[in-house]
Amino acid sequence: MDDVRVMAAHLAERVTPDEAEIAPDLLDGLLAGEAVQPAADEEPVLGGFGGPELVSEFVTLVQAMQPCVQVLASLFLMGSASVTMIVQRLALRDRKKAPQEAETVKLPDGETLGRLLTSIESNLLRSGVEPERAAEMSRQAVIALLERPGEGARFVDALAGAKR
Amino acid sequence: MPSPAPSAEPGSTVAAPEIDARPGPLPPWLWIWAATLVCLTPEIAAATVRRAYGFFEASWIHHEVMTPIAVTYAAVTLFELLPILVLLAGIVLALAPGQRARRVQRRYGLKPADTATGALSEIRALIDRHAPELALHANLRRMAPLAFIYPLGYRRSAIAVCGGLVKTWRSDRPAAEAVLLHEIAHYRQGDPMIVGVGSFLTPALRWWPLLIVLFLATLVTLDLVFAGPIERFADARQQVIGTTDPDAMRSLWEMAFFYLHEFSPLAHPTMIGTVGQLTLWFLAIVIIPVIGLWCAELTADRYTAAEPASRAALIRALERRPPRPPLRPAVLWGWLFRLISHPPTRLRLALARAWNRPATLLPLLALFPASYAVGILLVLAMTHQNAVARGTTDVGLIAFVAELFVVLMGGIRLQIGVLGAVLLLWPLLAGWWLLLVTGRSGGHARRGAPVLVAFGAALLAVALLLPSADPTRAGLAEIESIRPPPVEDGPSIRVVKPVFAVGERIVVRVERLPATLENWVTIVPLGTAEEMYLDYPGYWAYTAGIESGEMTFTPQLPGLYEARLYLDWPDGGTTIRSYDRFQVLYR
Repeated sequence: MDDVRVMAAHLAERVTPDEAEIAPDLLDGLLAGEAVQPAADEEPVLGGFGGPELVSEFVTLVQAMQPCVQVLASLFLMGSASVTMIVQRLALRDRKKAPQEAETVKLPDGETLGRLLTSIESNLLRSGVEPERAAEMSRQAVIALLERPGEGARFVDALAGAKR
Repeated sequence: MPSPAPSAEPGSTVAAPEIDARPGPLPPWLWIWAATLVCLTPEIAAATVRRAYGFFEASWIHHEVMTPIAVTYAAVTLFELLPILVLLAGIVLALAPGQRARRVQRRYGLKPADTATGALSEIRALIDRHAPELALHANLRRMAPLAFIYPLGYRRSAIAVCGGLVKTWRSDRPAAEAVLLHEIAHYRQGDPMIVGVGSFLTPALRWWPLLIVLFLATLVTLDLVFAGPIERFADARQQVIGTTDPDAMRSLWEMAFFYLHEFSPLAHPTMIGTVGQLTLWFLAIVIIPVIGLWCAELTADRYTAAEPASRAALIRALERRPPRPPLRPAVLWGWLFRLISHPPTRLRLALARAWNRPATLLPLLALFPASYAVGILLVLAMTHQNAVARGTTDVGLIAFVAELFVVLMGGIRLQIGVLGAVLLLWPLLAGWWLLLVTGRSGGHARRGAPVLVAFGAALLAVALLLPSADPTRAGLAEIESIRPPPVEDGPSIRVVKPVFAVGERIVVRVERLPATLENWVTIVPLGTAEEMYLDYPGYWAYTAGIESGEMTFTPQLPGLYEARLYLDWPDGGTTIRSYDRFQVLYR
């Protein structure tokens, strides 16, 4: 399993654990430009079960991250101390105790972490994800990437080169 | 259908299947329907050729009409055949399971599943408990569908699973198991091959609006480009028959008029009516296999819901719906496409909640036979719309249906009788069917046998009580009232029977003719002037010197006809010496 697939599984374990097993394959399909999510007018399969309701949250998340790949890539240019601080702060916030400090952290490309999270979150909202869940998913996604920066960087590179 | 040998996929653990306490298969409606359609295909093809040939005949009889017009109008009749061709193509594909397997595998990116570890190994174990001979294929790079069954060959099938099923397996395992049991039920029912008959229904529905537009555009173009010949073609009835008798509308030119006045948008401006007719026709043809596919799904649900735990899990699986999307064409098309192959989810849920009651079997059994009645109602709706547009009826739709429904049902009494007989015998046949499709006998509960037998007997009784729809009997009273009495003395002509079906040879008997080579017989549409005849093979012939004997003619168009005897050409002139009348009807 290469780094990108490992990262996909790790991301799914953190954000959408039910999909951890299939996340690497879903990512492969997504990067290859395949129709991973069911379309509203998809022709049903004869003798089949299930259709357009089978939306993958993992795929929705990855698609929400794709427009932000440049900012996401800059995460990995930070020093390890900054990364540790961001992960800790985001994790604290996860427990609804920490102040919003993490969001004011400036990333190497000039954006703030808060704006990165908001971008991912708004992309998720546009895909129909509930607001609370969207905020949670975007935070967990950034944590997952920073927890494994080497694999995370290659994951983001792969997203940047994905077929649209 | 599977081979008796179990699959040999990596990681699979083959175990003996459990003796299944779930209900056995129900009658394989789709197989019965497909066999019926295949048996009827030669007759359908012959009827179509006859109808198309009628245009040529009409064109040749009237020499001023350009043959290309007839060719074109004959070609457009094929449009009506399109839904039948779609279904026949589906049957051909269903009977070529290898071809369909390649098509399905390419489309869904399926490969033999790696069942060494993880959810797929657990899924494999569940399948092994129920049907170890089933192969397991997967594509986890897509979410939907959860799972489906498809044939790998004549005696081998596979369950295909996608990422959505693995996700469900982790998030709600009983629901995922219910989905797999549903697919296993399809396999036990003998569905993997036969559901392929619906392969082209969705593409046909997708392209139907465009086809109708092209069809209408062709007719508009015809009207514009061949306005003169079409007008002459339309006038031909007057010129040949020379009568305004309304009965003549059912004669030689009936078919030509039908298309000129009903399908030609400029001749008949209700283009919306034309689209409606064609759509009703499409629905009338496809309704039976579509309901057959619904029955296959509901029967698989019944198997799954046989136990309370799996019934609850099935209901949970069915209740998973996407958030209501904004209404847009893609969503509407998706909804329509799903209705072609699957019953509405609300219906499935309602039945799933009621499968613990034996009486719930009754609506499931009634659904498929009812589709025949629905098809006939749709045909009647189309016919009524036609008749109103042509001005040949002022009867309302309900009275029209009331008058003709039973008669048309009589036309399919044999099919209804077959369905009834199969139901009646199904408690005995179910085990054999299971053996045929799974290679294993027994292992199912004989549930609902009294309901099956009672409903089968009722259906058989209905079939026996329906009137025969023999066309030659339908027109008998009408034609007898206008036939001349037999001639006792002197030359005479008499048809051997008063009503014929289209395509049947018209046999006439001539008697007591004077011995001359120049006596001749013609058959003409009722109302044709005495001095006119149709100079076309099949419509007239010399008697070749016989004094008494039989002659045959072959008109291809429905209508009222007169067989006429003329003597001693040319000295005898065109005085009719004897005549008889008969009718040609569509089957």
